[in-house]
Amino acid sequence: MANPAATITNVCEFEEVAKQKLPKMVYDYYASGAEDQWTLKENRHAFERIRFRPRILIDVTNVDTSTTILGHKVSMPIMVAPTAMQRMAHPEGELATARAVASHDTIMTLSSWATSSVEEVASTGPGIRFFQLYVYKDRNVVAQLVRRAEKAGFTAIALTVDTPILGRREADIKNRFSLPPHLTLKNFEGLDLGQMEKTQDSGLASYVAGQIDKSLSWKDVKWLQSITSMPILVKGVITAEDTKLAIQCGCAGIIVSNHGARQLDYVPATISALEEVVKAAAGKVPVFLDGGVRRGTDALKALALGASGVFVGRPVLWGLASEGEAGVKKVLQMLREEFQLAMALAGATKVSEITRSHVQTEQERMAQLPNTITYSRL
Amino acid sequence: MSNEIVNVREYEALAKQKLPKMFYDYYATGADDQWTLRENIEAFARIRIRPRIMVDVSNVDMSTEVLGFKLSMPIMVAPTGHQKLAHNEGELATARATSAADTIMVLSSSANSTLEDVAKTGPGIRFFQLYIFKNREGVAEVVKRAERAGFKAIVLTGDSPCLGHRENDIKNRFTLPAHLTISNFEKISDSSILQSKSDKSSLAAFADSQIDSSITWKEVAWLRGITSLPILIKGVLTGEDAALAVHSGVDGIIVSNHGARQLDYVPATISVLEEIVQAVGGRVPVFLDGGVRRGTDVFKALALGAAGVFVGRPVVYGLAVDGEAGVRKVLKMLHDEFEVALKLSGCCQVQDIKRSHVWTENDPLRRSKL
Repeated sequence: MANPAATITNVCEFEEVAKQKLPKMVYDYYASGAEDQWTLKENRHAFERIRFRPRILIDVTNVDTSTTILGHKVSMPIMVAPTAMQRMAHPEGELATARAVASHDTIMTLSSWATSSVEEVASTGPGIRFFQLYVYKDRNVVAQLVRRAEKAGFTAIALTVDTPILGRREADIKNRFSLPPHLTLKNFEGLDLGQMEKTQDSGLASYVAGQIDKSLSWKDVKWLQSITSMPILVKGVITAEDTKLAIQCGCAGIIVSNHGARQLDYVPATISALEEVVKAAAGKVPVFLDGGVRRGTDALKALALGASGVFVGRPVLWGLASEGEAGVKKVLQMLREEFQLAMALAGATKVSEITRSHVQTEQERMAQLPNTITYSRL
Repeated sequence: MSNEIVNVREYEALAKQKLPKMFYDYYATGADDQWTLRENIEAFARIRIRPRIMVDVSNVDMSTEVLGFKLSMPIMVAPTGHQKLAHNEGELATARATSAADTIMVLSSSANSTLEDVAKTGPGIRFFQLYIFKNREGVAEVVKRAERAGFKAIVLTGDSPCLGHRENDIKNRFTLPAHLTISNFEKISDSSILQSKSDKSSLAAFADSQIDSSITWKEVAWLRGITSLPILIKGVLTGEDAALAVHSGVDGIIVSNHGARQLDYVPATISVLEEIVQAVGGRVPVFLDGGVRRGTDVFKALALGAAGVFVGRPVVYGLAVDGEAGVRKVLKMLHDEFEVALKLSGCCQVQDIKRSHVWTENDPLRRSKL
């Protein structure tokens, strides 16, 4: 009989396999959160505090997980988040991810700090791809990058707005993280921005401090719109105030994100911040979420609370590290099957049938009408 | 220290030692992260009893009536599948023990014993738990057999259009041993799937291919057309569905999350019981299963409005450890614990249990003004 432990039955189990396979510095880089990593744990725990209110005896013979994101039809509202330097996980890196994502008919977001260029990723074949953008001090570099992404068939920009400086990731500092010498940030090759220096610190933190524009503000979103016709999603918003500002700037969507808990520690879990952002957006733009999605049930909770879709980050890296393209395919397959099952058991046959009353949050439980106890005088 | 078993939980550890891993895991497992599995138990722990003292409890009567049938206690045996995996007498042993305890047994559609064989064990009040398979004629025939065999009600499972994601069964590649089958549906379903080797759980494969996932509340009317037996619906977790259940004409509701084996991250059944009791407004009795391990759990459920509770896993573990004697002991321990709970709370009969006998997290804290 086959070894039961060999059957991977959920996405989290890929992390263990990846941890064994990857050099410590690489695993730590992917896994880390900032400082105490409170938000890293909270991104998961907050999902656990949300409960379902399943509706039974509904005909769920045909459950359709498909949906439309920014006009693109996708097989499920579960997409791939931008995670940097994927060739540290597997030699084929972003190309393996691109192929796996395309085969699942969903969206891949390519990181600015990819170890494969936009052209290389596009050459893997057809697929819907977004480009995640950091705004460098050198605006010419940014403009070139955006144009190349457009030419390579990418259809939206995910602008990261939570990283004027890099969060303090202690493992990277201890490991003196830097990009392995045989790899390069491919989109900046030839611009002398493709390498990281070896420092006494996190090489990435130094790179960011040197290159990334700290002065980035809302007016720059308008500048970005002037140099591209691609819709711009703003990634890293977690407050109602910033939601309104983002919409005023004409963004096409918001990704509620705490950067995988790698930036400011002690921000709320993204699933906890989601409703505030959704309410502030008031339906004007789609709201997405990343951070802590590990189960189909997590995706269902996010959609019930108003997200139009979710992005997964680390699980894709773990699948990639474990088994390359096949591993990423498995991760997406498991999430899709779990999501479909969760929809069926909750009583939703289409993504549009997922409603707020399918979940109960902690706040709702606390606010439940108390049952007053009457004391008899006897 | 004596080896005396003093509570129902102790049977679980013993069953785990005795049973092959694949069978123990099948019984024990919940879905996904098994959050709801733990929560079913922990939610009971968060409820406090408010005992009334100096009450004459010299004569305690724990009996109650369920759908017109008199029981010794409001604690009944839930339907759990494949009991011959636990013990070679399986459901027959459970039936004998339950009758001896003068309470109700619900026979599972996934039983390895026929309705008729269970009935032959002797007199007893039994309900039949029903999955609606795609072969409707076959299902109707089984329902009629249940009637003829003297079963007194149908318990329709409404929370399983497909099987929950039970990871241990997948890892173990759960299959039914060759000598067992789901006896009552053998001829009307493709039950050989349960023995098929695959890289998944054969139960999930069987459910996906045989169970009708299109069923809706209309099925209650369909059932009414083929049987005069009362119908309970099992698997309601929301007030909305409780209202639909009453509207569809059921005779009772079992608040259940299928032993936390279907959708993970649903609340514990004891947490949603009040919502359902309030939605039903007394029109039909409301029961509960999920996480009942102590007489005090039974007391809490009744205080929150349940007319009775069902126990699942403890019965299976008692069966695994000691056959009919094990099940008898499980039921006796729960009976005796419930009696103690009643007495120490100041109740002489089931009707004396009131909402004010418990404090839940939703209740305001009374603070002294001192």
